[in-house]
Amino acid sequence: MDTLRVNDVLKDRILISRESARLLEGAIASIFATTADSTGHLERVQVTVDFDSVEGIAPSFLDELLLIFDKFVDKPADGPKRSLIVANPPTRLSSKFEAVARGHRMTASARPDGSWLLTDATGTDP
Amino acid sequence: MTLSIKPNKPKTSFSHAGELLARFDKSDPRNPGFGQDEVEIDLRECDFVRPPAALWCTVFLALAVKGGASCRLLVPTNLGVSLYLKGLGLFDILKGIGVEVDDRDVNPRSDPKIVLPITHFETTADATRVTNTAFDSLQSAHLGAANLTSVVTELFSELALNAAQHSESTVGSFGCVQFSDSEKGARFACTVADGGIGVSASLRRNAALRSRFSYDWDALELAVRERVSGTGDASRGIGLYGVSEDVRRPGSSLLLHSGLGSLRITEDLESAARRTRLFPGTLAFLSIPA
Repeated sequence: MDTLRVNDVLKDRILISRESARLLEGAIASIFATTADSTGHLERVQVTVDFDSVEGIAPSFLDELLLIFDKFVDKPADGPKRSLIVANPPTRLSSKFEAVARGHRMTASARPDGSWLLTDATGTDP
Repeated sequence: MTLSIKPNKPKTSFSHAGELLARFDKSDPRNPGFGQDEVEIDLRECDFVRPPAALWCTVFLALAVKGGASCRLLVPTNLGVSLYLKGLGLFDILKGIGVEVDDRDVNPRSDPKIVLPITHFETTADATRVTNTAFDSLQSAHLGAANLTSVVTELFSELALNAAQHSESTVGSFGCVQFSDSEKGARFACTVADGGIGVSASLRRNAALRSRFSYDWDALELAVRERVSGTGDASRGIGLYGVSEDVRRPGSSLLLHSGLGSLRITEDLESAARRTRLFPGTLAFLSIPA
């Protein structure tokens, strides 16, 4: 599983802005560079973003993170292709974060270990 | 010309700009035709001033100073109220922008319940910094339930981000966070205000929304719905929606005041928009049980 530790890149404990999320783009690009096939095309991707040591996030931050995610992954056409796991989320999965996911045609659900799974609306928990 | 503004209900609490007299609605300091050489806000008879009222004073006077007026704040004669406002940072921030404030012998004192004194910010980077400052302060003060630290900070951050991103305020934005413990229980209060274009003008930036509201008050009703944004970007418009959803829990409330409209949302899913007195910009006031 490919994991990005947010705290390795961002030192703020409350992450709110789109600009902050964009600072993760390089690290996310590195993950995708190692998982893409030889043509650079991705069929199915699961990335874990670990928020350990982060104490709070705002919807804008998550939305920008998903925009970056979208940038590197094909849009779903015939089945689940995208899964983003938010590990050690600093807050509960509330309706505002579910709304952010819907804006990217994804669903968000809390998993038994407390992490969030954001996946294409037609997909299932991998 | 001189404009002197006095809260309508002295001897009681001055809670917010909605309590001002209607005649002040015509005195909008954002307007190039404001035309006042001197502006004075008179709090001398106030027995209590709540954060939304303090931020109205801040924004109104900041705009008036920006417009070239000579400005003065008459502080409450009640020393306790003046001490509170001093601790909240009202006097210092006003003096910093050129407002005359005679706060002699109102000596500053440390008040741990002021989590974040009135703080000026402009950009989203500023909003991030201010939010993290509020978080650090909340965490070190050990106020309220521990799990509320993130909740309070996240909600404040959304209000601050909204102001930084959408207000187009010529005087920037201001925010504060306060803890209070009264007979009604312990609470956190987050207040953010700007002297910008207001919610209705911001939503009008999006042509698809223009036919959906006519006034400041119905613009506020629209603004708290999911995915309503002046940007027109399909994935935006979660900020105020998220805050309004989060306050629909026992004991919480949200007051939005923009232009001549206000909207109050409380725990029982009720929201009530109304026509009210002018706020020259937008103010958001959030109250959360601690």
